[in-house]
Amino acid sequence: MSPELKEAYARYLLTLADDEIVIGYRDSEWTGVAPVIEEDVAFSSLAQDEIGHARLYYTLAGQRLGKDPDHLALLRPKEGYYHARLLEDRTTPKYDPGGDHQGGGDWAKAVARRFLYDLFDDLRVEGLLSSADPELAGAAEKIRREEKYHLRHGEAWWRTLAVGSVEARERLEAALEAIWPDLLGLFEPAPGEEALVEAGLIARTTDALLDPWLERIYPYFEAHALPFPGEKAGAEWRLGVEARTGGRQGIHGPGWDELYEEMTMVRRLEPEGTW
Amino acid sequence: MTYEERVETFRKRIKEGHKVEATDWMPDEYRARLLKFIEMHANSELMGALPERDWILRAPSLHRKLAVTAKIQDEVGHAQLLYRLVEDLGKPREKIFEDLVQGRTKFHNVFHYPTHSWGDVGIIAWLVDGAAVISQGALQRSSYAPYGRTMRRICWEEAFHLKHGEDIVLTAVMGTERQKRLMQEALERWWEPLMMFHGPPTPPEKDKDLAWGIKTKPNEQLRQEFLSTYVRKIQEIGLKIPDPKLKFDSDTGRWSYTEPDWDKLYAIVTGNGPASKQRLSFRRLSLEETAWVRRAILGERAQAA
Repeated sequence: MSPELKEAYARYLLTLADDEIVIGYRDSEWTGVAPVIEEDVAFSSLAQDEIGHARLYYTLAGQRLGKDPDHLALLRPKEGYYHARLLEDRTTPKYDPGGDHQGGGDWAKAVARRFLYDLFDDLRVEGLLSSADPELAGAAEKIRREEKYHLRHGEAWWRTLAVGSVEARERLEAALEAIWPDLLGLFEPAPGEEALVEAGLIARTTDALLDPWLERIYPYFEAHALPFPGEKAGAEWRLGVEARTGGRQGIHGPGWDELYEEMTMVRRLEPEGTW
Repeated sequence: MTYEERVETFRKRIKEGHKVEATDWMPDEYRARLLKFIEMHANSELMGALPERDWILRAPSLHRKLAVTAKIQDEVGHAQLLYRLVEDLGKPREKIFEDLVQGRTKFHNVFHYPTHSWGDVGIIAWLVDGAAVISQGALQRSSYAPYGRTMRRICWEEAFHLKHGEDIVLTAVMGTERQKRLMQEALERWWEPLMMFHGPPTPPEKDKDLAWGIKTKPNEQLRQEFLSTYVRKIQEIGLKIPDPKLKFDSDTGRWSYTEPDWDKLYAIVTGNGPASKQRLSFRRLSLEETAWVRRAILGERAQAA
């Protein structure tokens, strides 16, 4: 592998890992405060799966970069994380020790984000099954097995919110409208992806997943007549929303400032210590 | 048979070791005490998720992050199992939560305290859960059979929590001075709540839950077992227990210790602990913000758009 290819590959693996760790962290916050206790348990399992996937990817990246997976996960500079911006916002209320808690918990956003991200990730992982790197292909296979359950869980909640009550539907629609630009931001490619396709390490660049994803998600909107900000003209999708990108370049918003601060806070006390 | 005679027969059967099932006849007082006891236990599992939940995001490695999340998930799962028992005894879930957030029902003293550092996460999982396992182990033989069965499952999972907590503490005390200090300071914060955990040394003959066989061991016996199990382990890893009076008397076979302030315990469990109000208001906020989801699950179909 040329140094350029190696660098692009490590960057791609970090991007995968960062997506998974960030949504895993954010969803794990529902443990203890989900709408029904049964869902605390379910959503927490999904979050733990994502963290487990992140660990697999960080381990692969770490082998190539000569770094410890925990270092990659918790000790990089804040602007050196490449997850999509969609994934970084908190969707739960936030506890304040003084009692001045922050509200704004949004289950509709949590569910919509998780389901539409999972559908994206499923396509992405599918493209890794045939990777020229057998370790990545193996990881992808394991991950895909688990993600099947995530999709089933997501479908059930999607339907519940779409038809469960007028209020639920309104909240789902509002959440979707708010996240569309960030949903499209998922498809921002990491630098050097084309070379990775050429080398057979990944099947498709991330931006090439957009059309298959739109095909895949559209029926879920159509089934419940949920507003969809675009239409298909011939073989082309025309979308009325602009993507908000930057995540893959390390540009993030306040949700990341907050999360980064929290997730690194204990580790920073003794960065090289054993915890 | 009069009501009193039925109650007498029931008492006698319990004393002989018979177990009560959910569908069996039971005296009103037994049902009421049982419900209150299990409801407090269930509330404690649920409220217990909050102090540790603050540290899910902050866990210092991927392994710890997974372990902490799974542990808290277990606790919420325990709350679920226990709330089902409360529902079987006749109290619907919405009413249970309503009473909890209004401060009409209680939860365990240890969940009324704030957490300050990663040290608290280790000490809670090791020693608070350790104290809980001692109570819960005894509850496996509760006169109410469904409770005993649930306790067997819970104790099995709790055994992993103790290992997880012990490992966090042990790793830190073998680390740098700073890491060790996190654990020592946390132990100092948690010692008093731990000594209060099993409740005041109520004489067994005056403890009605004991008389009904809802619980099977007196409070003081549980505390003595806790000390016998953990004091040596704590000292062996080089942590100092902040009670100069703590010592084992080999003549009586009992531990003596500084008597906790039981009025303070009462104040704490009735909602006046250092973090009681914050925890309850957070629970209330999270319930309010998700009320619409429960309404959606319950039904009212949306108008077809």
